[in-house]
Amino acid sequence: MKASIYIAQETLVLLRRHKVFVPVIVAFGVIAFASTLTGQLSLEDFRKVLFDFGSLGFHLAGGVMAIFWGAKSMTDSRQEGSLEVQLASPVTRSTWLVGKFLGLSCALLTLGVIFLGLWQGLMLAFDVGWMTTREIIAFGFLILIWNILAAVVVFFSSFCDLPVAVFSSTMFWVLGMAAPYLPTGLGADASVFASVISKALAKYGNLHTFNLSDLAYQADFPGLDDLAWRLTNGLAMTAFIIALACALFSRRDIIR
Amino acid sequence: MKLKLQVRPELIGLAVALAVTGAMLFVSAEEVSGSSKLTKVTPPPLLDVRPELIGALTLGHRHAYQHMLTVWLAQVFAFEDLTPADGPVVADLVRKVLVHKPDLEVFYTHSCFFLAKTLGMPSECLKVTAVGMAQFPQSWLIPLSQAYVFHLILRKPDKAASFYALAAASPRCPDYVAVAARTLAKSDGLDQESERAIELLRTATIGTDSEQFFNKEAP
Repeated sequence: MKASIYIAQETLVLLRRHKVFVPVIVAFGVIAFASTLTGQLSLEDFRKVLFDFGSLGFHLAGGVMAIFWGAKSMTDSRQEGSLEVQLASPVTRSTWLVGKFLGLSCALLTLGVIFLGLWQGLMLAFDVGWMTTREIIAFGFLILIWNILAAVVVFFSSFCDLPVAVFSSTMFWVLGMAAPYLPTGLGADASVFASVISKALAKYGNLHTFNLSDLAYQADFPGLDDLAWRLTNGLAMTAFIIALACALFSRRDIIR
Repeated sequence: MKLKLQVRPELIGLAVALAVTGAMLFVSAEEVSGSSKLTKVTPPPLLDVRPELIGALTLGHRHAYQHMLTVWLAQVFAFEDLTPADGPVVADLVRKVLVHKPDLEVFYTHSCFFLAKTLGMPSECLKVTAVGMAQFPQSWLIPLSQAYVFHLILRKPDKAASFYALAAASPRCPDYVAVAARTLAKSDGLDQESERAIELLRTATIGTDSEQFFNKEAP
């Protein structure tokens, strides 16, 4: 466990050196501009427009960063040779992989906190007050989606090169977000095979379970037990993907 | 000479962003046909795309897209010198936006009044308010708008009474709406079918906060 934490710290330092926190400022600027512009033109409550655009931007920016920097961090270790050096010491492959994931996860959590801090500042600047508990919960669950994506990119990067890992993780993301719409979108004349696959995806690969942005202003916002179930589901999904990655990574040749 | 191609994450990001922007521009290239004023209106991207797909394309943040649609439609409504001749084109645009079922109550009331008053198409109002009432079952403003159109523009007091009653059934509705419904319901000229409709509404409100208003006398 200690070794995983050291590797996580090293990953965090490397990501910081790659200026991973700069894009969050850029993303914040773009999203803040788009949301305030739309909010001022819209007939809807300014606060809700701000939240809707903010959560969309937050989701996109974090997801993209999780995928790009996750893949980069993993493939850099292989290209620079640090992976071989670290594995020469008494560190198992699984420990190394878990450490890499934890480092990436901490970086994403920090990005989320910075973004939310900036967003709260924007809300106060426009005199719409403090974030509500529901809004904070919705943003928190989006960070959970980032972490699932981080696990996915660690999984793909453990046996693929950067472009393939980025592409596959992005596809997983898109598919996970499209999953609930697949069974209805296929239509009545879809084949049985396609129908079964789409239903399975909607049931087990549905990332919408963790997207509460659309519910933050609705009367049917999930209760505590529902939130706990969603959180457990997300953490279990992350753990399963990392366990799968460890199993694959332990059995393959790391030098190519 | 050996060409070494280095793939960098920021370049992939840039390529994805350019591809998405290009696709959206391509999708929104078609302009609205109709009167000379409205030919300059370019619909927002993905207007004709099914709402389920919009949910997937916006990664589940369809409300952000709906804000874009309602802002755009409000700009169309704000066009200067729109006349009843532009009605069919505008009504078609409203119908296209309606497919996406915007989660904005004022959109339904605003569109209803605009179609009824500015464009002289009060009969189109019901299509808008029907979607609005399904989207906001607790709303009293949407059925009230429809009641207003039936009452003061179409001069159909029987139908107006039904919609006033529907509005009054909402727990947040002010008392004067119930009074209006009662007054109209007791006025002359209601045919038997309308009275049956009101009787149905009276039954539907049993056990709700609005149960009493049918039994009170109009002032």
